[in-house]
Amino acid sequence: MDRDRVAEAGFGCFGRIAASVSHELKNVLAIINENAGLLEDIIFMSEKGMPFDPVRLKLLAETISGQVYRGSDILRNLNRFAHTTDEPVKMIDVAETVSLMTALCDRFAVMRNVSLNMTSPEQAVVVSTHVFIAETLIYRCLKFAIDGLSKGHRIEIRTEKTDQGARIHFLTSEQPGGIFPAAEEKELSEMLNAKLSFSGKEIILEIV
Amino acid sequence: MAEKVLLIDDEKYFVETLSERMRSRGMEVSTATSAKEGLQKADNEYYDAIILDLMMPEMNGIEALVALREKNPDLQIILLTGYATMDAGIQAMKLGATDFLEKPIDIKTLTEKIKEAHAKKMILVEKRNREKIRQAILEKSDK
Repeated sequence: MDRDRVAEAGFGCFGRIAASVSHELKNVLAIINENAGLLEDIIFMSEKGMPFDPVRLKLLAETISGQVYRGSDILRNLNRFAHTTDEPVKMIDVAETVSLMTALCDRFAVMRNVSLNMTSPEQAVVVSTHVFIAETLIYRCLKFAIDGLSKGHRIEIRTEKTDQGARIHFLTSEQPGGIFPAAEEKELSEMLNAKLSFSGKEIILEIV
Repeated sequence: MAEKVLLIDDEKYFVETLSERMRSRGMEVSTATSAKEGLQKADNEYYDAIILDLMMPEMNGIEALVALREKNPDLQIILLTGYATMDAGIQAMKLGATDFLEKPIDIKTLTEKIKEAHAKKMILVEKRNREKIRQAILEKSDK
């Protein structure tokens, strides 16, 4: 096993996600900044005698509040992702982990005009595994599909319980271009003791 | 004369609020929430400056910048970016951006840059007109 390659894949995953989150948060701050500036403009004009519209102010307040919640959701996901390194190996609900990685990869998909649709199982699918490695592998499956699809296509993500653990399906609406799994995915699978397969429009990841 | 500006950014709330603030400062502002929509508007109208977000879905700001400059080399384009790194700035300027600003932006700085862009455009137009007149005089004297 090439541990350097595994480490690089992990750093790459963390770095790309952190960069994506920071860009999105900048947009949130920019919107809050503009709305705060507009509020200043309205106050300035009211001091000059121009009446202000309370309905307008209420809308401004709602927009600012909405963006604060948007920012908070983004940070919550990043925080959860960052905390997975607290304990290298532990029991996880695979569906929740897939949900987290799908949320963190959503911006990559939006940028490429690809939609992500996830369905969760009714019951928890619990396995004991190396969490960060599992997240990195899920990220790489999603990223390969997102980058390999044409605009307007979609990825369906589904998690199911198996006798040995969990199986995650990534089903694409067209065959993504590119080679998969590459060396990094093979190394990550080996470290996780997982099985990774790709045929046409479906990637299957089995974690035992 | 009011500066005529096109604002292109995929964040709807950002575009709505910023354009309102720019209008209250005397500018004539059109908006687009995608690079494709922005390119169509730039094809149909003259603008003193185009404010263009760097990170947008489908077509990013750099691709839009190149497409816009190909059609009109005199266009003054100010890029908006989440992170104004030196590399991003150099790349943008090499590709023909007039300037770039980091979000969140200061409206006063943006207004000044738009006025500078407008003045630069007027100089370019004046230069082109003088060149045309010079060429016409030369052609006439050759005959």
